Amino acid sequence: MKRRELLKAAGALAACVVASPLPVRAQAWPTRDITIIVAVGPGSSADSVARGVAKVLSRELGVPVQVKNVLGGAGLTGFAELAASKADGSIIGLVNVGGLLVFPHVMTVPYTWDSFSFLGSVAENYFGIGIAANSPIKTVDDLIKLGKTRPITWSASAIMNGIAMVQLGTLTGAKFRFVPANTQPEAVAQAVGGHVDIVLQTPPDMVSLIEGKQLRLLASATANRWPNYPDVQTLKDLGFNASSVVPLGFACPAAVPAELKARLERAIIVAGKDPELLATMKQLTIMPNAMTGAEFLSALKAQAPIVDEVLATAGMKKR
Amino acid sequence: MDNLLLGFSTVTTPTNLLYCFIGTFLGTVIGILPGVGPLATIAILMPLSANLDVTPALIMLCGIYYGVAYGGTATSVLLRIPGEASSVVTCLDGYMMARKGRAGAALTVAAVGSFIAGTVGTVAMSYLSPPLAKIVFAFGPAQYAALMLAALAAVTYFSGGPLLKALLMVGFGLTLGCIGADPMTLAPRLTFGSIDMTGGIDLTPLAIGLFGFSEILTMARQPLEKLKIIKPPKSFFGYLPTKEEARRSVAPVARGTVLGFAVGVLPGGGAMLASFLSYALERKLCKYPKEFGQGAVEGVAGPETANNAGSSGALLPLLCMGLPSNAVSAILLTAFMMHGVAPGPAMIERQPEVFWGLIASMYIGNVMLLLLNLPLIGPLIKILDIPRAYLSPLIMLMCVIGVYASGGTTAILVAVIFGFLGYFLRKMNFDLGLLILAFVLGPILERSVRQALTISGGEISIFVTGTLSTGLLCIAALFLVLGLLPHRKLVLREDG
Repeated sequence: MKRRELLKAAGALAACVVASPLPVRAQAWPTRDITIIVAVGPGSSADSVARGVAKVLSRELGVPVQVKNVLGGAGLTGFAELAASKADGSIIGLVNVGGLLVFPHVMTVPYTWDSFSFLGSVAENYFGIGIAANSPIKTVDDLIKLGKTRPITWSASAIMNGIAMVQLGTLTGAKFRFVPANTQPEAVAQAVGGHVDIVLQTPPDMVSLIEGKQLRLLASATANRWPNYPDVQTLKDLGFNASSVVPLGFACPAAVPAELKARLERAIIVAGKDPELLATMKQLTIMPNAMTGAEFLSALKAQAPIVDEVLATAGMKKR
Repeated sequence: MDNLLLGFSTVTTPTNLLYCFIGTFLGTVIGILPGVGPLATIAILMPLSANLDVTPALIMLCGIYYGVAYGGTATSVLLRIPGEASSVVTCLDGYMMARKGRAGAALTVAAVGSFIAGTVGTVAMSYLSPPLAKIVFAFGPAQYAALMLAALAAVTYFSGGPLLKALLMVGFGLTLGCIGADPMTLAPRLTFGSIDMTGGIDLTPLAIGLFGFSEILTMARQPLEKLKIIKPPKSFFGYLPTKEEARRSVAPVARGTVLGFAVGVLPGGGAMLASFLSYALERKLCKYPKEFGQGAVEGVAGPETANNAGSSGALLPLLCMGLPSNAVSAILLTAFMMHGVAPGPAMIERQPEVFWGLIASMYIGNVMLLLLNLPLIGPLIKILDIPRAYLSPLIMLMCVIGVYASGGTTAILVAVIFGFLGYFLRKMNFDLGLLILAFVLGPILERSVRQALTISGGEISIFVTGTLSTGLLCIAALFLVLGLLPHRKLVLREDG
């Protein structure tokens, strides 16, 4: 008798849990710390953005939010961990073009687009074409002219930085050859030393040497001019429809309940307007670019054919 | 000189001195703890330091950076666990010194050597900075490939044991370095489909496994009476080196300082390569080659000096050009940027108080580190009084925590596998230091060769067109030929 009652009670309780409408549970969330998986090293622009967003999320959601740098596999490990993590809203990740558009072409990855739900973006990287200050090449036109006689070598720490170069090659018929560098400073030093012709990196990687008159900013390789060098034109200004677009946004495992996703998305939108984060981005010359989850997803998808072409040109595409 | 005075006047405010102390203190602590590195610490402290003024914030973060090389020695000498990668080679002779009751001497020599290296490195930075930093640009892929080859050939030649055994270890290290994503195409290699392996094997579990775990196994296999460690003298000054030890340390410290600084300026190898080259050099030059591997004081003095000189050398391209040469100085660059300072010639010109303040803080920081580390030696060597039955599990625990912090459960698995492997390799007198060095340098060598060939479009002549790369290749060839000559002095070592 007693046992049956107990069973009944347990059954009722279970029914209650199952039947309880989602919002009630969602109100209780978050009950524990939230972790942002970042697949790049501490100190990089993307990492600084994630840490800034973590601060805002923590304030908005009322729990501690920490950044976990998961390095390895050029970023693959972080993506794999995000895709495989618990869908209880306690784990989100910083995602970019590399994990979704580059890796699936060059290796077998344990996730697809459907593994993730996209929560929004707060920023985008600036890229620029840097060239040794003493190089005889003075303009983008010089560069293209030379590129028709011999391949122009460009170094970068990630192939996405140079999407614009591949587009420029297709548009003009000039030849560009990618030389992958292990780190950002390595890429820049190779250009200053004249070992490669040009370098494509972000402002924090290049500003010191531009200020030190070792490196010249030939053009901005993004849609906008660099705010700290407003006189330097973009490739678009020069009449070439070429730009490297690398938005920095966030995603969570696809199975996270819709209500939690909505709250995360709202918090990320708040982060995109946060004055402190905007100040950090200004300091590091990162372009604020707030997008909703849907906008972020379509921005990424729009890059797919371009990245395909980039990988094919570099001979990186899996056959 | 005026500049340096400006720097000292900037630094000698109570706030700046306090942050200098906090930085160097933290550096020492995380140096002592294996697995906890400066990278994570600076990443965590960076947002906190954003609220500070620019000078104290940078003084603190840099203090952590160069303080680490001081603390890394302790566990290497006392427990044969490398506290940091740059102290791997100290495990060899430092630990043997500890087993002979000379732990205090080893730590004192290391601390004083580090102090000299740090100070001389700072002096070099104050007077030679801008011209020296330009060296970085002379090195392109072809030059790096040649440099790595020369370094590997030199260390292999100096390694002591039979050449074939040395080459086997280099080959094994190079193979391990190939695991993971291909540096050019990102295609996974030797991963057997494992996602965890896509990133390759991490240095921390590899080094702790090969040195720390293998030592625990070795101890477990030895009969109790052989395990006796000679107790260090109990007197207050017992931990100071003897006159003889001090005399024998002078030349290695001097050589280590110069060598370490020169190697440190170049990206890639940094402090770790500096310590290995110094060890190899000292073994060759030492008047008592039989003692090497058995607790030769030169084997501690040289490398421990070189790694400190190396880490100050590595700061030079960052401060003078804004080009970080390793992961830790890369995060320092972000810290600079966050405070609105772009390091490099522009900073030296426009914000001299920041640049010179930093330089001055390094003079003071090195003194603080010496004063901090010397009194620590007494309490630290007390660890050796713990009976082995309790000490072994304690070492094991420290290793596991350190390894887990660095890479989770996969890292523990890697450490255990290499612990067993290290045990057998040591029994057969293989040089584990060579394995680690080849593991670190191999990927740099491969990447540089392939970058060079990409630039030249497959033309192999790119390696011999420049004088620098040609010269370095000649050095590499010279060492290989020397190694093949038959009348090679054979130095047998019991412990590897």
